Amino acid sequence: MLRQIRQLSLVALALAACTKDPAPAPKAEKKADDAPAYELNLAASGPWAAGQASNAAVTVTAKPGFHVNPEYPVTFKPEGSEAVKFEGERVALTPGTRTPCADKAEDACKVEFPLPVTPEKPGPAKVAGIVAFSVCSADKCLIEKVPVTLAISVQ
Amino acid sequence: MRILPLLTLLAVPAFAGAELGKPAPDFTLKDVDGKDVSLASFKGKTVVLEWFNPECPYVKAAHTKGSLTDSAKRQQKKGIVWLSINSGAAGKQGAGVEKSKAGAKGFNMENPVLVDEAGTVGKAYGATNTPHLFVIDPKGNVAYRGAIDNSPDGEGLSPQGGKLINYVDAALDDVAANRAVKTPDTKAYGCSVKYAN
Repeated sequence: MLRQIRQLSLVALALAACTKDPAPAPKAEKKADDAPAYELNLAASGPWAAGQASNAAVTVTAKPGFHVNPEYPVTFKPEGSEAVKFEGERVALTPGTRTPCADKAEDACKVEFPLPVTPEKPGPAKVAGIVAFSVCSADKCLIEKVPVTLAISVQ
Repeated sequence: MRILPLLTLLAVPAFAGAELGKPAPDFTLKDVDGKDVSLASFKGKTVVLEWFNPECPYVKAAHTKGSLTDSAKRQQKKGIVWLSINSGAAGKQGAGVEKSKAGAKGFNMENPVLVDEAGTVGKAYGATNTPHLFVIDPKGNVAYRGAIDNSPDGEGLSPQGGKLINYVDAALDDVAANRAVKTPDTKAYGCSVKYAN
């Protein structure tokens, strides 16, 4: 009897785990054909000072089988930002640090793109927008437009 | 042992490609309705060849937002022949009659879409990307080869140099005016053509 109750408890716990909403993912990640094709991240180390341009970093990481498409013009379109300015309505991002793919060194599997940001005033601010980029595998290319957001504290 | 690299080289398919100012390679392909379409039958007319893959995101972007949205219809009204060619091999992304037909319908295309699953015509022209465009003048010579425009996002939102240039429109204007094409050769962008090998 005790054993049956224990088994039922385990089943109930398992069901609860299945129905529980997953924790929000800290990074944007897209799945194609059930396999993740990339990971996109927006980060900044700071410090941020009002009126002074500094760089946040947009990082595209291609998952196994994919690489970052070097021919696609990666852009950041500001949307929903607060108390920051950008260099235009659509910022062309120039590739910075490039990490070659383990299986094919001429392809990059991780590319960091500096994003120039100028905070307007001291206090909390938000960097937000849509990053357009592309990753490719041997079989296909994907063009993605993914929203990113980052809260910063301006001195 | 030294023979192996040589054999490997010999096994690589020839991608000679269509040469500018030279006669465009002739071909006969079936369209999505099974009708034979021959390049030779358009002798005396200006012809545009557009390499096509309805599932390629660049093609989707160009046909729904970018420079290919209405190019073919506009040019056909001027008497230009516009042929889209799908050189994807069977089983590859966007390949085959049904996918070509669905893509043409989805993009509201009115020009013939030809199927080249063997990839013979694509390789004869050196088509590497979708979209990849070739303009053939009324004498049958290749007058332009390359990208549709200078915005490699397919949408026309990131033109290099800041101003969007539709290279095919420009080449067709030059051909119509019987003058040398100002920009006859550009680098095509987009997906790779999904050849069998």
